[in-house]
Amino acid sequence: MSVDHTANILEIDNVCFNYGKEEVLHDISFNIHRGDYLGIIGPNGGGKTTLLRIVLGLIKPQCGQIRLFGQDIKNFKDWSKIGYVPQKHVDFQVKFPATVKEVVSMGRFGKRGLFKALNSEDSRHIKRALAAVNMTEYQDRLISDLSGGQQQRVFIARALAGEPQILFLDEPTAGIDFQTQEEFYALLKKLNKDLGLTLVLVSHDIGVIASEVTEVACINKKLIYYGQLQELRKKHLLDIFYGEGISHLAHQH
Amino acid sequence: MLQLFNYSFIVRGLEAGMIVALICPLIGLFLVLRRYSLIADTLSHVSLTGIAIGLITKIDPLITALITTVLSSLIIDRLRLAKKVYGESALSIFLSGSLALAILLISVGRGFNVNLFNYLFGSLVTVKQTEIYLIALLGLVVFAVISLFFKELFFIAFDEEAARVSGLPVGFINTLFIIITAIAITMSIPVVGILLISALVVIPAVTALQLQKSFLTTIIWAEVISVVSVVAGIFAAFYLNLPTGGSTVLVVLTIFVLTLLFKSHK
Repeated sequence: MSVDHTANILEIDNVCFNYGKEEVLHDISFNIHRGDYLGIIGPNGGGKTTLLRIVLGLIKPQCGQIRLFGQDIKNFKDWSKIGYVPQKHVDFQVKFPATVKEVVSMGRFGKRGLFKALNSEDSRHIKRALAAVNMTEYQDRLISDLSGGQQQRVFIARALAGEPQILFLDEPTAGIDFQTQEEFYALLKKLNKDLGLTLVLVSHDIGVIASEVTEVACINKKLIYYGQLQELRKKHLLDIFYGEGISHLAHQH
Repeated sequence: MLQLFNYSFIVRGLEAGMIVALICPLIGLFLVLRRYSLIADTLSHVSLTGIAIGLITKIDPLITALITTVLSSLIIDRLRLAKKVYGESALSIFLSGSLALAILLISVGRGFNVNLFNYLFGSLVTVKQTEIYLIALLGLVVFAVISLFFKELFFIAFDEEAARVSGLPVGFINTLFIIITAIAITMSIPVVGILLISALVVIPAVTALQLQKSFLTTIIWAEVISVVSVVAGIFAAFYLNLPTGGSTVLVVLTIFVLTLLFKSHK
């Protein structure tokens, strides 16, 4: 699928954020374009999750501006264009009583709106989303009975069911074994290439970023690097990281 | 057996009991899943202050209890959102604070001890016809709100943050939910009494959760367990001359324990 990579989906302009006196993000600016597969990397505590929460409208930055699909986030209403795959998987002491299908159906709630029950069009999208992540046969199982990797696929299906144009994933493979991770990233690549879905992957795992994404934003309070992964390679990954205090990440995995 | 239905107070009791039995688990399942079941206990203690005010001012105590619990639930919600105190601490403060106030009010208005006992432990015998209408009306309000926002409440209970990102009005729905929780607690007072309400809110939901079914099936099971417990509790109370609150809660507890035993033997 050919995609116009010049259209801006998300514009981040001079964003900063402090927790009390502690500066977490300083003057961050970059854009995400249609069809991008962007990796946001940086050390833990470097502010990448905070940036994600700002972009998703969960917290407000102290300065700067966010525009989603050309609209200021303060006035943005079209949240069904945004898909979100959270980091946590289901690890409740009391197992949450929801089947895979029930969880995926949540992805349609925002689109359907208040006071309206889901209809046959919603069922179609739920089915399609389950098929896209290969979880159709698990649809009547309880979400808490699945492995971490399967749960993560269900959460992707939930996001896909809402027909998003951009998908945000927060450390999606934390605590998931290596082989499942590989399958998971193959799925993401397929979504990006075949469906032209814009992906934003937040991770502290440099190895993953280097082998999967096409664009990179390195964040450690400031934006250290933003651009094509290939360009970053030319500049020698570690040269950029050394001195910025995140080189140790390359050795962690 | 059928002689039971010749007593109008028992018929009234069963009517009130059924409504309460259907409403409590609806609220309860969401509270349990959100780890907020303690609020049922807190609001029921808050309602004691309302009852005391009602008994002193000679206004229907259910009305004054309703006003007190709804107002308190809103303040608890604000405190939780302001993040100045932990949610649980806010609940503890309200629980002990309102109990203290209630004790003062009760000692001021000496002489309503018998009445008070009914409100503390529930006594269907004293449920008046006007109170049945009030319970039915309040039950209808709670049921309507839950039905209208069912899918949103489900999403928020599962993952509040993802629900927010998908554009649902999470803050508004949370406030609405805490108000109907206060309403559900108040309308249950005549049936199970202030001290035992949280049992009827929490235990059917917790029991149904043990069965590990889908969300819809879990709700249906919680409803069945609750209705069976209340009806059995009322029958037992009638024949064995027991207070309804106590007998109902013991029945639901028995079902819970049997479910746990059955599960561990499977």
